[in-house]
Amino acid sequence: MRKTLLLLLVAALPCILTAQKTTISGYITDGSSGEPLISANVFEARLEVGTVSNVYGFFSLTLESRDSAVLLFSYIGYQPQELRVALSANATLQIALQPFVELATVEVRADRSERIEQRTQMGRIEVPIEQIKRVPALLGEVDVLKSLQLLPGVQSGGEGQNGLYVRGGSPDQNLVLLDGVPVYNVSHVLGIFSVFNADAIKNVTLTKGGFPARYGGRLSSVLEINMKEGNTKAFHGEGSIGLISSKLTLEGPIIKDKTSFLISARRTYADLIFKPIIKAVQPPDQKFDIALYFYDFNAKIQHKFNDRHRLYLSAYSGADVFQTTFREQNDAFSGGLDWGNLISAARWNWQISPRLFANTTLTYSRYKIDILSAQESKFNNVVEKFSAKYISGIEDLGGKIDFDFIPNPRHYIRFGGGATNHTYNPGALALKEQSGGTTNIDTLLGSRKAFSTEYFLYAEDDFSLGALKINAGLHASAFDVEGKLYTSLQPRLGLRYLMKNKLSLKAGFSTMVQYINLLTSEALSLPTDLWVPSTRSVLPQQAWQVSVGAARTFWDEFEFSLEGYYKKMSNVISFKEGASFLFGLENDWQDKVTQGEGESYGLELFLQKKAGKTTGWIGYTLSWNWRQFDEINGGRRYPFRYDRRHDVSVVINHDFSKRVGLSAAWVYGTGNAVTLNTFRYPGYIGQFTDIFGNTTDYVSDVESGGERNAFRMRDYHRLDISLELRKQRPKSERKWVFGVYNAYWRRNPYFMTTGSVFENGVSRRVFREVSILPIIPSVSYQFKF
Amino acid sequence: MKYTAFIFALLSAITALTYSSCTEDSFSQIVEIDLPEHRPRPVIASQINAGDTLVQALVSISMGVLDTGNYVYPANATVRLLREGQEPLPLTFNPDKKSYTAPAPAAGFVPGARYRIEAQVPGYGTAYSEQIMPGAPDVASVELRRNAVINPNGNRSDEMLITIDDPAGSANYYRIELWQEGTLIFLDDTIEYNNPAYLESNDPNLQDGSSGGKVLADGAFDGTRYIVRFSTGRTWIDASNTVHKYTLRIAQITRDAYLYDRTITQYYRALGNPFAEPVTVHSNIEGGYGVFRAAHWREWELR
Repeated sequence: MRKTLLLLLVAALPCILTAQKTTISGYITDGSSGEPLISANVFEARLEVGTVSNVYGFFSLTLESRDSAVLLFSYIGYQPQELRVALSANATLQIALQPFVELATVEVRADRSERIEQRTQMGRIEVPIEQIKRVPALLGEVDVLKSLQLLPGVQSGGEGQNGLYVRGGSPDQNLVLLDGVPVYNVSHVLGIFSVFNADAIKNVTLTKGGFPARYGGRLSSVLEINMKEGNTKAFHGEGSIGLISSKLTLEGPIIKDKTSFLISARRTYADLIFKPIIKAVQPPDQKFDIALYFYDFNAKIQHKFNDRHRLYLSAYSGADVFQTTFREQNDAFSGGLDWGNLISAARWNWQISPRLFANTTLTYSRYKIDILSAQESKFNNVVEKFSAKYISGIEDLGGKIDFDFIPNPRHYIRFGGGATNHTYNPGALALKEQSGGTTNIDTLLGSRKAFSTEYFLYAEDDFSLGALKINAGLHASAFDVEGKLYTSLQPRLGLRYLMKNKLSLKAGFSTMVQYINLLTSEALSLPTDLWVPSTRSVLPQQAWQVSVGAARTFWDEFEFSLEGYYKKMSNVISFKEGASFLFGLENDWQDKVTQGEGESYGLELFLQKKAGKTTGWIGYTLSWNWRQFDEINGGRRYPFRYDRRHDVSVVINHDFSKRVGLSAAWVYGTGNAVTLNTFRYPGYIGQFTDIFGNTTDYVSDVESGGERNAFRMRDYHRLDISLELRKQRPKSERKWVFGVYNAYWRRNPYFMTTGSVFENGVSRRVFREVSILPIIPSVSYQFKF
Repeated sequence: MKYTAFIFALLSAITALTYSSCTEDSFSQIVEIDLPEHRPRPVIASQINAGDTLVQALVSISMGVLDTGNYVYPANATVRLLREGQEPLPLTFNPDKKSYTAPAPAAGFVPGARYRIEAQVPGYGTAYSEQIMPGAPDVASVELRRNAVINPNGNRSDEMLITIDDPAGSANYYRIELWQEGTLIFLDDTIEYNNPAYLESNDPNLQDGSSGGKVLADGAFDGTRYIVRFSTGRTWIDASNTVHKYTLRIAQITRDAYLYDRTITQYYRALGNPFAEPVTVHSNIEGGYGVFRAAHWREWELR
């Protein structure tokens, strides 16, 4: 008997020791469009375990095998769904959540989405695209980047500029990804508008610190912009007609629930308005033509082969074009510049097993600028032609593979790797001269192309130890350029401790390395800004950042976070004093730049409400931002131009009813740092020579003496308002959006200059602040069907 | 929608009223800045050229940037030029030129010799600077090609080629200037002109200098023979514009002269441009501000 019992026990031991596990996996999508829902919550209430969906809507939850479990699927703005699933065998689910259609108070559930206190990662902000579209915009043009400037820790550059200065970093230190592909030029019209068409975008996430190991290549932030995949259920469209541009987005199924498409386009039309006017007024023997516009075009196709394989193909093309052509009798002149991005990506999702998901991405990204000057003339019956074309840009070809492995609810492991080949064209001038059909000059001057290859591997695990959640990882990278190999190991760590009162304490540490650099003026984003690699003499930029903070959700609606950070940067790049890159043939750009140190630290406060009739946020940043270069300011440390001690933003969107909505954004910032000269002297003796050779000496002022950025312009503040009047029909919606930028016409300083005024008959020298953007009203008509 | 038209009209009215009241002052305003008090110092601006018969130095006093009034050119300063610390040559104040002058030393300015200028200004202290006189530029040949090229402006122009043999082992700097004499027929008037010509070049080693000249550093061609090419920048070539003679002047200059020439050009180019990087004009005056430069010129006439 004892032997029998012992035998039974031994036979049952494997079953007892190895408790069976069942994995429930699948995809969570929007029930009305088929769009994957990112970071949707999956929760098992009895065991209080759960997981979240990834960027493609994939989730995996492994539970102890038993009869069944009740899973709650939820996502902000959508009706949650409860489902009883059998746990006798692995199962794959396709969960379609239906969006709330009423604007009444949202039903509050305990687990609406991954709450801010549950996330391990610090410094990460997701702004719903619908909120971005509501933010009042300059000239009515919804702008993703300008909306992000309203977040704590993110500074804007000059008035109207969309450069992002994140926690003391410069715009080139932001990794901007469009569907996983780096975008090198994010601006139209000298930085006033961004290249992102909000109608084609699904979500925007900004990571300012506590970077997980899967990110690398930039020091200050990762901005992920994911396009919509395309409605797999029905054909829809939306568009708008505005003061300076119009746009149209169309999406729909090619094969219902399997294959879908999305195309989206935007174009300005200043030239279309001016052309007929020019044609009407020009003399008959002259012909003048102008092209003055920018455009963006996005296209995407997705195809679901089966529950385990999906393919996505996406492309973006956008450009700014400024060209003039003039012809009079035998003479013609044309000139202008155009710049733009071409981006494409192919992604393949493969659910290898219930717990293992892979995404493989092939990417191509190209940014280039052409500046052209051409002339043609006829002299003594000989046709003479001359052209000069300046070409500059960067081109990437890359591939990567990312794995999500979720072995159990306590671990979420990500690992992967990739490589990118960069081709840099830091500026070349093609000169051509022909006379009577004979080519006299056909040459290429300037910088030769440079090449580099960047590799990376990473592994990270997001795991729980009770109330403590840890994200630990390692990002390894290598950069091969001109026979020089740079390598780097970058540890990353994020900690979150959830206290009993639902307050979470967080801490993060990350190191980052950046191998490619943008040579740009601090004051203005220009299309002639150059992307250049690290070289033997220009070292990779490096940074480490530590942050601590707390986060909590109040009344299930208000997300609150408080974060302090310290960031130290090495080998940051700046122009040497007096250097300029405008239209230059930079045969050796390395001689124009110098490298130094950067240091920034501060405190960020963020309160956000994402759902309900009233949404919006309040952000406050207290920060310091320093730079030190041996060759600038005599080697003394000085405040960075965008060192802004206090930065406040308040954004409120309120729906009075289904038909009327009001939005307002108020921003305040300490004035930008500026260099002012403190003394002057007669430092230049010139000679004026008239046409007959008579010379006259003259003496000119030279002003000097200012410590770099030692003074401040006046504080900046501005109120923007917009009003939406909507009309809902059964199958369509239209709305008029009226907006006012700088509603109380604050004369915000853009730059300072010296001048003279006469007071009581006496001339007095003064400093003047110059502002550029007054009160600007706007109107646009938007429609959806 | 009944309110749409109303809001449209309201916004249009606001726009019209607002922009109709726009003046230049609507976009700028005076601000009071608490600047640190400036301690005035002596300023020296002087250049010695080998072969000159006159030494000249402009001596003045610096001022705060918001101070009004004219510059002070003190007549009671003690200004002198020394060679190798000896043979002090006193300069005297010339009220017509508002500067200090003296005949050049009898031995002239000797290449390789160290020259020092000093200005002691009562109440403001002493300012000084030193320069070593460069040797003459080693120019192997100068060639003028008439109507030979299309310049970067797209116009047919004359071209010049200058062959320089750069000394090895030392940093050398050059300045190039060009004058043109010619005849211009304009609206039935015949004008004989004689003025500086503007140099156009795609050579990235040639940097813009002051007064239309170019400056050149030998970093890219140290110790080798180097050909400098540029076009003369004439805006038109036809029977109405004939250049009879070019006068080409090439100098070997000191590093301070090169840095000053480059920075003063960048300074004036950046002046008033809020998007330009701040420029500090090079100064080599101890105890004060300004610049003391030395140059050794050669000249060619080309027809």
